[in-house]
Amino acid sequence: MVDRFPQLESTRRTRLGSPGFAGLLLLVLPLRGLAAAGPAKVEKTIDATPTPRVSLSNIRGRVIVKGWEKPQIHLVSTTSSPRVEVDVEVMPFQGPAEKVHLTTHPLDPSLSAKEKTTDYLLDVPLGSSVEIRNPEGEVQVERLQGDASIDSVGAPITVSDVAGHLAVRSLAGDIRITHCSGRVEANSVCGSLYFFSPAGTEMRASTTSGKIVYEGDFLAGGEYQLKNWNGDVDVFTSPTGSFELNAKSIKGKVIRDPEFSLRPKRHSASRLNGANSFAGTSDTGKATVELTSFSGTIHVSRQHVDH
Amino acid sequence: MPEELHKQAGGRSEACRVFDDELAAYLEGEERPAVAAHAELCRFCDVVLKDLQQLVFQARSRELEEPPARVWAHIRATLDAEGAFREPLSPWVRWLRNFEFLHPVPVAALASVIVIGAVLLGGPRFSTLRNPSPLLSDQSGMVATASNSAADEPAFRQTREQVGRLESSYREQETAIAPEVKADYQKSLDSLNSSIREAEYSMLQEPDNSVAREYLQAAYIRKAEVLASALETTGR
Repeated sequence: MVDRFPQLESTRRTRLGSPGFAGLLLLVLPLRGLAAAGPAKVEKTIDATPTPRVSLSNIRGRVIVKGWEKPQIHLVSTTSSPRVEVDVEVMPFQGPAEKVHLTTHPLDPSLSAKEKTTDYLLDVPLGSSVEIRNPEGEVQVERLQGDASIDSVGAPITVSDVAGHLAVRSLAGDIRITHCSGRVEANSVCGSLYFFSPAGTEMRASTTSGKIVYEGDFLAGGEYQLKNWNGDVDVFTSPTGSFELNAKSIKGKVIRDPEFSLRPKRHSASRLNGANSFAGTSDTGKATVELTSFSGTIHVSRQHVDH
Repeated sequence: MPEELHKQAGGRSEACRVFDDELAAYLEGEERPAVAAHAELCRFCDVVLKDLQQLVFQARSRELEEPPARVWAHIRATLDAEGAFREPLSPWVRWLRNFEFLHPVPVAALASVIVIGAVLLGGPRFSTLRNPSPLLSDQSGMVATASNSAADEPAFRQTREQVGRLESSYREQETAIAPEVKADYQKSLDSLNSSIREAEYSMLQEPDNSVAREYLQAAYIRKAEVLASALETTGR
């Protein structure tokens, strides 16, 4: 058996949600198992290392990933059709899982979008790194110390308290990132980008027609690049913060509250002809902030206390 | 115990090994007189032969059962995922598929963006750009009287062609994308086309506007990424 299926020496695979076929697999492949049947909620707990890599490839549905203290991965999946399976691939074969791949697997290509919908709720060890692809479904990730890579096409993505490198992409969905302390990269085309209480020192964010909202301080040594095309860029920060600001909009305006006592740079004349821009330093300028828009308006305002 | 039985039969002899070698063929109906002859002399091998003959008889007497529809659906889904039912792809898309081992990075995006990025960032600067592409001009209606110098600029023309090929491939394949996903891609492409037109119009007015040039470059790269991502979706 091992000769015929050599990959099983290092991989555990489980198929959730299809009783008949999974039952057959139990006969053929003893390392595959059955967890539940039909369009239903399925739960599974996998022992893992403190820093596993978890990947999830879904089609449609809501995905929620939360870090917890246990060295375990707890999966709850809810399929909408008995013709949709959830493949669970665990590596290595024995001992705590170092990698776990979850894949939504429609058995019938003609299934409707609604039938392909699968919701996931994942609790993963705090040190996990996750990679999530969910083209038409909302993604929510909370409290991780590892890296997170999240892709969607049209759905919103919400991330909070991630300490590792965060890379988030959604073509048409909004992206909301709260209190993330690692390197942050957020990209969209039509969606808006929201950053609340950022705790990291490296941020690159861009969108084409969405707006960008940044609420929080700029940390010493940090580099922040916020760029969009025709949406507004709204920055709410402390007027006493230490940062060097470069703000420019080709067709729009740059507006800053008067209470921001930024010292203009000596040679701050814009290299843009007719563009509205400002370059100045607040306090000792420990952080570098670049705000760029093509035709949107850039606002730099005092941060609201209630946030 | 089979082992005891085997000892009673005099242990494993050369004849037993010949029996083992020829047993499968004998059970499949081939003429192997040594098998039957040895079974009459060796009690252990005789038991093995009779057990296997019984198994063969039982197996042949069972009717073949039709697998449940779910099994066929699974097989079909697997074959479909492997591309067995897919319509022939354009050479461009087939070339991009060669890089699928790089998944989950959008492979087509990677290939296209490398090419387009290299052209845009490494090629001649757009300093002579005075005119948006005719195609884009037609769409925007903003620069109908522009001169033709931009269309002759090599890097710009090459980039526009690359993106155009990607877009053609996408249009050929877009029926394979779920309607709601396609709508999101189209919305993004519309937004990027609008941005490209706006940047080109801006550069027409201010030829030395380096930021507008950067925006134009970024918009083309982003458009290539979106198209390649959409193409990858059609290949899943």
